[in-house]
Amino acid sequence: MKSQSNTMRTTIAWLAWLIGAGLLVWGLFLPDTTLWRLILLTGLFLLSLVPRTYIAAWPQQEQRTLLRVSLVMSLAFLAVALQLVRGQFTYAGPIREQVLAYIQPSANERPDSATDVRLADREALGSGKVWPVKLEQPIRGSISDRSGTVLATDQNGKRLYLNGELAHIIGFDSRLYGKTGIEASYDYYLSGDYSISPSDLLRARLLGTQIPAPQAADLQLSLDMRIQQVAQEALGNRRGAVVVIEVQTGAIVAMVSYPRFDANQLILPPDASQADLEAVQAAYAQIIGNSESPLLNRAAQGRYPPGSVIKTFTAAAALDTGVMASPKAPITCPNRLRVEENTPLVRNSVENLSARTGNPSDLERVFAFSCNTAFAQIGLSLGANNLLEYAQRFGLGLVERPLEPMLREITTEAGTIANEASFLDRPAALADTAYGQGQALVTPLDMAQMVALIGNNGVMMRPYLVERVTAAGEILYQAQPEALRQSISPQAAQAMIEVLRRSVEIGYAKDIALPNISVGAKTGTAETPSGRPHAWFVALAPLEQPRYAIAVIIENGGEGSVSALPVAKRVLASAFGVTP
Amino acid sequence: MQTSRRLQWLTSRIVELELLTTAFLVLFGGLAALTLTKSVLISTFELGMLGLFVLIMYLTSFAMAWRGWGENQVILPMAALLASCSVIMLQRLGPDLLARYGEAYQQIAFKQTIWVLVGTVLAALIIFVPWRIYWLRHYRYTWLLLGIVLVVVTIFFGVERNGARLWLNLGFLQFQPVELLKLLLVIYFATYLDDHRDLIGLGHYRIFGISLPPLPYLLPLVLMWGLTMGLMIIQRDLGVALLFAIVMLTMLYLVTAQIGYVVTGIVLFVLGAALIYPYFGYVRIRFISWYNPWFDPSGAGYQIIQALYSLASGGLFGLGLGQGNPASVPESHTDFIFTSLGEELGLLGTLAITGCYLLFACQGYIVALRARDGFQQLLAAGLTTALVAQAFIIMAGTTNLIPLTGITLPFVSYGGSSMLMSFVIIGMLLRISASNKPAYVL
Repeated sequence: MKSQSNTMRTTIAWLAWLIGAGLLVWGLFLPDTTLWRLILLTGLFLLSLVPRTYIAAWPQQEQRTLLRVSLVMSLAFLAVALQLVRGQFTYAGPIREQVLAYIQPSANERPDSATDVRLADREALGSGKVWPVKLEQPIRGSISDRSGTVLATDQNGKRLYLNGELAHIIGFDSRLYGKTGIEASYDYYLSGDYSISPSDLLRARLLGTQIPAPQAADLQLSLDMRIQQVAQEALGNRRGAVVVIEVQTGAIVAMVSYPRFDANQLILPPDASQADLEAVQAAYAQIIGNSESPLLNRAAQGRYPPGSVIKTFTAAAALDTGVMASPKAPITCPNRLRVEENTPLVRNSVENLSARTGNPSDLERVFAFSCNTAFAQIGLSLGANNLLEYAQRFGLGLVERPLEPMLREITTEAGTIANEASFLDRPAALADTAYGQGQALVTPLDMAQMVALIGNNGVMMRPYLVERVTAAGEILYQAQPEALRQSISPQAAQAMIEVLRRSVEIGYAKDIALPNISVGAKTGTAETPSGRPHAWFVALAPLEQPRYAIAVIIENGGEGSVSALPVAKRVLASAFGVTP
Repeated sequence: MQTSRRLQWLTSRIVELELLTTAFLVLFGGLAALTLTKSVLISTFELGMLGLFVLIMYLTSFAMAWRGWGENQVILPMAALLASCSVIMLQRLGPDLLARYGEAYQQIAFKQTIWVLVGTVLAALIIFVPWRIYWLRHYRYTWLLLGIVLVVVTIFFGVERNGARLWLNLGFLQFQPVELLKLLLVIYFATYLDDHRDLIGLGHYRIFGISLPPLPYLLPLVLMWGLTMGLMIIQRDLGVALLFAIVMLTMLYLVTAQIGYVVTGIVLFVLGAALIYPYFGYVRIRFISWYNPWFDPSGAGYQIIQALYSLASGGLFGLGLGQGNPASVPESHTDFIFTSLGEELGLLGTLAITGCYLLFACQGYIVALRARDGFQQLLAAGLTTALVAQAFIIMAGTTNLIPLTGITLPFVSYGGSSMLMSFVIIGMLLRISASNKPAYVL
C-alpha cells in the first residue's frame, strides 16, 4: 500500500517535471519579461519535485538538509543558465533591436544593416586603435594633386594644409577632433600602418622584439588644382557646389563647396600651450555653430531638389526604353496639362512656351526649352516601374531603401528619386518627378555622374579622389577606373549627346557655347519652400570625345541659366584652355 | 613492483592534473587568441608571472599527491580555470578601459595577474602549513571581535566609491573589508551553531501566546537581521547584505533542519528592505531598473540595458575574444565581467562559466557531506555557500534575473580582496576535504 502511494508520488513528480520543462522551453520564446519570470519560478518549482522525492527518501537523515541546500543552489544556477539562453539566444534579436531602436530611431526600419551599425553606434567614445607595442611614429605622408602640387604635409610635427580650402575633401587630422575625409579613409597609408608586417607585430607582442620603423606613404589625388582654383573663384562667396568629373575614368577633377572652413585652424602644434588649445576649441565651436554649416560638403553630401536638370535623366530613360524613339520623336508642349483629377495642373515656367518649341514639338526642343508638360507626359509613358529602374541605374535610390553612395573615399550621401516606391504610383507624382518636382533629392555629384555616363557610352564609372599611393618611389595603390554598370545603351547615350548639343545650340543653355569646343548642357531652376530657387547647371564637353562632366548648384541663385551657367562656363573654359 | 608502488602517489591525483592542464590550455589559448586579434601586448614579465602561476598550481597538486591526505581534486582546477578567464578578460579589457577612462586603469591585467599569483601562494600556504582546524573554534571571539572592528573601522575611515563606503585605504591597496568579514562570519557562525546543536530538542518559549524558537536560534536570526540592515543602511551595500542573509540562513537551516527559520529570515529581510525602500533611493533604483530597465534607459537602467545588449550581441558563439565592445558597459571589469565574457564568448562561454560554479557548489557540498564532524561540515557548507551564492547574486543581477546588487564575481572580477579571499576559501575547503589528514592538524 505504501509502495503504491510512493510509485504514485514518483509518477506525479515526473509528470510535473515534464510540464515544468515544457513550460520553461515555451517561456524562453516569450516576449513578456514579467511572464517569463513567473514561468521561470513555476517551471523550476515543478522541476524540483523529482529530486525532492529522492531526497525525502534518502537514507541518511542528517544529510538531507545539505542535499536540499545543494538542490536550491543548483536550481539557482539553472535559472541563471536559462536566463542566459533567453538573453543570448532565443530572445537576443528582439533585445538588440529594442536597444538599437532607442539609440538610433531609424534602425527599426533597416533590419538588414542592424548588424553593421551595431559597433559604431555603441562606440560613441571610440576605443580606437591601440598599439601597445612601442612604434616609432613616422612623419605622416603628404597629399598632393595630380600634377604633384603638395596640398598637405607635416611641418615640424604639425600637420599643415597648404591649401586650406580643401578641407571638405582632404579633411583634417586633429588630435582633438579625430580624422576626417581622405586623412581618415587613407590613414592606413598616411600613418605608415600598412608597412607593419603582421608577423613582426605578433613577434613583438609575444617576445617584445623591435619593429622596424613604419614608413608613411604619400597620396596623389585626382584633383587638378588649376581647375579647382578656377571653380573656387567662379563660385566665389555664394553657397553652393561645383563638381567636375573626368568622363572616361570617374576621376574627380574638381570638387568645390562653399561655405568652407580652414582645416589648419583645428590642428594643434605638438607642444600645444593652453592658448593653442583654446584657440582650436574656439575655432571648432565657431565652425560647428555657424548656421550655414561649413562642415557640410555640399558637393557630395548636399541633397537638393534637382529641378529641370533631372529632365536629362528622364530623356535618357525615355530614349533607352524606346518611349521616345529618337531626339526627333514628336511630343506636344501644351501650356497646361491635367494629369489627375483634383490635383494642380502641370504648367510651364513660361506662358505660351509652345511658341518657342513649336507645336507639335520634338524631344530635342522640349528639352532645350525645358518644357514641363512635355516631360510630364514622357514620365507618364515611362511608368513608375521604368522610372524607378532607371533611377537605380543612375545611382538614385529611395529614402526607404537607400543605395550605397558611389564615392567611397569621403563622406557621401546617395541621392533619392522619392521617399518610397508607392509615391510614384500616383500619376501626378510620377509626372512631377519626371520634370523635376516631387520628392527627388540629389547631390551635385549625382548630377555630374548623370551627365558623365552619357558621355561615356552609357557606362557609369565609380567616382574617385585618390589616384595613387606611393612610398619611396614604389606605387602601393593605383586607382583603377571601375565601371559600375551600363546604365543606358551606347545608342541612347549618343542620342542624348545630340539632345544636349541642341540644348546649347537653340535652348536656354546657349550662353555656355565656347569657341572650338562643343558643349552640351542643361539648366535647372529648383523651387525651394522659401526664398529664391536654387540654380542648377550640368554640362558635358567636348561632345565629339567627351572629357569632362560638370555640375554646378548655387543655393537660392535664381535662374540656372543666369547664375550657375557662368560658373560652369569659366570652369570649362579654363579646363580646355580657351577664352570664352 | 616495488618501484611502481613507490611511485603510485604520482598517479593518485591524475584527475586534478588533467583538469589543471585543461584550465591552462584555456589560459594560453585565450591569450594567444588575444594577441592575434587584439593589439594586446603581454609582456615577458607577465608571461613569466603566469608561468609561475601554472608552476605553483602543478607543484601544489604534486605536493598534495605526495603527501597523500586525499584532498578534493576538482576544486583547485576550478579556481585555476576561473582565474584564467579573469586574466584573459582583463588583458582584453585593459587597453579599452585605458583608452576610455584613462590612467586609473593602467595595467589592470598586470595587477590582476599579481593577485592571482598571490592568491595561489596563499592557497598553497593554507594547504601545506599545518594549522589546526581547532583554532577556528578556539579563537571564536577573536574572529568575532576582529569582524566587529573591521565594520567599525570601515564605517569611520572607509573610502566611498559609487555611493557605497566599502573600501579601506591601506596605502598600497584599497582593501575591501567585507570580503574578510564574510570569511570571519562563516567561521564564527559555524562555531556558534555547532555549539548549540544539542538544543534542537528543547521546547519553545511562549511570549504573549506566540511561540518563539529557543533563544540560541533566535539570537543569530536577530544578529543576521541587524547586520544586514546595518550593511544596507550604513554601508549601502545591498549585495553583501543579501549574501550574508543567504549564508546565515543556509547555515541555520543546516543545523535546525527547519524551513521555518528560513521563511522567518526571508520575511525579516524582505520586511527590512521594504521598510527602507521609501527612504533610500538606491534600493528603489535597483528594484525599478530590475523590474523594467526601460523605465529610465539613459539613467538608472543604462548599465543593465548595456549589459543585456552586450549579452544579446554575443549570441550563441560570441563575437570572439577582442572582437566585441564589452567596455561600453560601465564596470565591465568588475561587477559586469560576466557580461563582458558573455559578449565575446557567447552563450557557450557563459554556460560553461555557470557550469563551473555549479560544479564548484556540488563539490563543496560533497566536501561538507563527507566532513568528519559537524563543525567541519557546517564550515565547508558555509564557505561553499558564501562563494557560490556570491557568484549567483552577481550573475543573476547582471543578467537581470534578480535586482542588481554590486558584488564581485569570485575568481573572475578585477580586485585583490575578492581574489585573495576566494583563494583562502578554496584553501580551507581543500583542508577540510582531506580525508586522511593526521590528528595534529585537526
